[in-house]
Amino acid sequence: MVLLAGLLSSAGTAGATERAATFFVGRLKYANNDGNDCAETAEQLAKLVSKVSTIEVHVERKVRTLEDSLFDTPFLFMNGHNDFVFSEQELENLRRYLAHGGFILGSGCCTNPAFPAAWRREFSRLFPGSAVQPIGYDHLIYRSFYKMPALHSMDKSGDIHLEGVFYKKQLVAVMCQDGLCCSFAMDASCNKGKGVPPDEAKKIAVNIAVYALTH
Amino acid sequence: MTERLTWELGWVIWVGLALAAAVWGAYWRALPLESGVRRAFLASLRAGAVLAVAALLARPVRVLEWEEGRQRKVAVVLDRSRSMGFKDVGATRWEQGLRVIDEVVVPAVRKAGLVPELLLFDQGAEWAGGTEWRGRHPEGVQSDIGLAVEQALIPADVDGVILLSDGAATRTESNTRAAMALMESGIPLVAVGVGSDTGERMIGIRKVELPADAAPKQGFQVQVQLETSGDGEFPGGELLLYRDGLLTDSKKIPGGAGARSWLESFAVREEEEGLRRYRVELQVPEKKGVLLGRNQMGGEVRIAAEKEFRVLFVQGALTWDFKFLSRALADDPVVKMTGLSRTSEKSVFRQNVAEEGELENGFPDRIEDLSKFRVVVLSGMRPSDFLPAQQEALSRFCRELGGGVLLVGGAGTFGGEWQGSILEKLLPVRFDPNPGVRGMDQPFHLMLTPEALRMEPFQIVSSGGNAEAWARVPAFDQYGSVAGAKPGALVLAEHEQDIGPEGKRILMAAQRFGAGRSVVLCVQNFWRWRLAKDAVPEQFDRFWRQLLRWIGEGAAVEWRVSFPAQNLRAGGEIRAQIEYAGEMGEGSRQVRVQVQDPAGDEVLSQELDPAGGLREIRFPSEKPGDYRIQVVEVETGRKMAERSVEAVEVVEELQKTARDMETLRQWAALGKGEAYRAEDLKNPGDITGGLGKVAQYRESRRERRSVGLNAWVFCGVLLLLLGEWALRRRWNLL
Repeated sequence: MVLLAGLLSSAGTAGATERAATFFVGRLKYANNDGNDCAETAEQLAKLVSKVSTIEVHVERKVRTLEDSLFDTPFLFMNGHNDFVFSEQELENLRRYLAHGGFILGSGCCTNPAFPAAWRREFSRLFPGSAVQPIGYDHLIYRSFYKMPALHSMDKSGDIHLEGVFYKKQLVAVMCQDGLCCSFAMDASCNKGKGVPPDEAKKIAVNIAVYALTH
Repeated sequence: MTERLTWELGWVIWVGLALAAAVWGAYWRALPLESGVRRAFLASLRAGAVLAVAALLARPVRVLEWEEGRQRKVAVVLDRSRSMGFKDVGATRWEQGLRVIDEVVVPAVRKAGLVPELLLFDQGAEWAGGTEWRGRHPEGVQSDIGLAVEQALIPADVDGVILLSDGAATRTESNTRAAMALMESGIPLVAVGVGSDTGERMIGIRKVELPADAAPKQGFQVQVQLETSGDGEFPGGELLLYRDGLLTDSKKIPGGAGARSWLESFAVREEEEGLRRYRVELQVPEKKGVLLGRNQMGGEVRIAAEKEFRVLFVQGALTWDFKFLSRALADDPVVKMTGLSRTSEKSVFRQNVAEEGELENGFPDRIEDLSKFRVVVLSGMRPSDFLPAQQEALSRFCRELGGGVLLVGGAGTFGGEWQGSILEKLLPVRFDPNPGVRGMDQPFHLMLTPEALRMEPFQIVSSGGNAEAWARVPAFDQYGSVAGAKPGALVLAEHEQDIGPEGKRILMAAQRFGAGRSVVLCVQNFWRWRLAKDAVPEQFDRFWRQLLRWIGEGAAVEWRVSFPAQNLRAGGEIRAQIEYAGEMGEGSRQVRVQVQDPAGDEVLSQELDPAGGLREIRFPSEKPGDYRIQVVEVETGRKMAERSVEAVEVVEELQKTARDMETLRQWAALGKGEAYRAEDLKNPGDITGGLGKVAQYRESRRERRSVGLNAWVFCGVLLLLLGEWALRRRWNLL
């Protein structure tokens, strides 16, 4: 995949409405989380995508895992600080959502370890034999828009790897444990000196969105 | 240039030293002086005079050498023509040559203080470094020893040439020049003959050709190129064809005489799809003096109803439709989708391109570039997104090449600007000049027409209940309105409620356009079907796979090139068979068969009509090498089929396989070197004689100047004796 200058002479779709816009982000309300951790991060993600592309975006919309509106939103964002447990009904809905082609991006807020641990545990319950696993730097998600040879950490010596769930060889859910949303939405102001550097966080967030749109 | 002093009679120096010491001792004892210093001084003057005379008698010379501090080289020249592949000495001649190089030549050359440098030759010659060349088979169709010798003599630091060959030289144009160069330089040439003096006859498989893909229930050929080498009669044999390890066919091979190369083929037909492995084995009865060369070769054929079916998906911005359509095609073994999406004002996103530069300049404006695809999908585009040349290329792609075009749009892109555009002409609908924005708030269902429900692309369940399955397809929420269908267009789906000027709003329609088919789908965000909670993703996937095939089926045209059994020799004629294997119709057109020789020159250009059945063409094969046969559509220039076939030059190289030691001896004589048989060279010492000639040449390149007999040395001797005489007189010893 290559980005190149100049193809088509003028703009694409017009008359955007919420339902017509291509990249609208659903902010997931799940388990006991009300979808308000590090507020408006999903909207910031949409703006990032909008800034670098012609993709039509819309303000974030809250979506509950138990609602049918989940299936109107091809891209869901979830974050949090704390441990959580999906109910069986939530698991069933998410399983169906991902199998039908939906995509979920998770982010641990403020590098709090409780959320990533819970995300790994709960998402490993979705598909038998498909546990959450680290995503190597050779994966397309690191170069779907920006070429990113690695994802660095501001406070740890090693690099950061995204983690994800695969369903029928397709990457359907991605999580970053190191305050990704804090960095791309608030320049890590809530998580000073920790996690992904803000400039890298913004790039990888766009990469994840573009990957979700194309795979 | 370096300079050093040496003596021609070095032993005289040693005698002189002994004599001088004896003179010094005797003189020191005999002198009647009390002072030891004076006695020693006088004795030294006398001994010095003796030593100087000895140095004169030892004939001192000054040696001047041409090169300063550089190691001299020996060019090791190895034949890599095809005759070196003959296995007549237990191993191939090439392997025998390598053994001699490794075990004899290189150690001997290094021991002599020289550096071996390898030069490989056939009809050309090239210096070889590293070890990569070892793994190659000797494949040169001709050999030119003269050219190789000329090349070997070019470097200024070469002191000798060691030639390893079977002597079967087939080109002689360079021989005179090389012989002159060899004699003028005085550089010695040592020849090593590989192979046997009797020569052998050999029969084997040169090449097996299989199609990479073939359709079930359609025949194809397993083509076998055989070759013989050497003089005399060859026995007949048998070719066996194995399919997945089981014998499936066999063919008798008649005997013959002399070296030749010819084609045999098996006609094969597969009923089922799958991957099949074919192996051809050659069996010949044992006969004295006849060796069996490579006797097994094979490969895999993918049996599939369709060849690769490429879809180009073009969109004004990244959309979820592209992602969900990609998911639908993910497991399809045949349909491959390439994406071209504008992602920002100055960038596009190319996905799944077949090669690095494909679509580099955006949407193609040449029909040739579009011909790689069977279907082009335009999603969320307007006519103004395309230049006139791009629209024209797309129109011709559909009309002339039988390609499929699918336009997907909604309220944002379907409008009056389509009217009168080049693209509008190929589409099955007329556009509404003032469509407005409809369907944004009112979910609707796609209502298939009775005709569509009966058609193959719309069968989304395996058995029964197709209409019910469509009724369960989730509601959509946005559509683009069109004014109506064009005459002859087939309406496939309508809006369940919205009524336009000509009845229910059309949501999907299709028509034939020239040899191809165009379809309009007025529903955007089609992805909602697959993601919906109650959807069956497999139905969505099946619909899209079937729909794309149906849209692109007009582009499936088949031309085949095959070769009947025949001799393939340069200087002769080659026969090929051309056949149209598709159905007669709009997609079947006049073609031109073009044949290019190995140099790229056209040797045949002939038009064929698809209705003519199986046609045989003949073309001259003057030059050895690969001949390329292309079938090109006359009207569009589109390439429909391509095959190549090799004409082999059957020359002395393959006919007279015995080692020609006489030729090698002549080269060695010209180079004042020696000739050896490879089997006589077992260790480095066996080639000492030849390397001795190299050492002699090296020695001859030195300049020696005598420095012994001159007035200065005589004066020195006289001065020593006069000095002694003067001191003896002063010290009253006379």
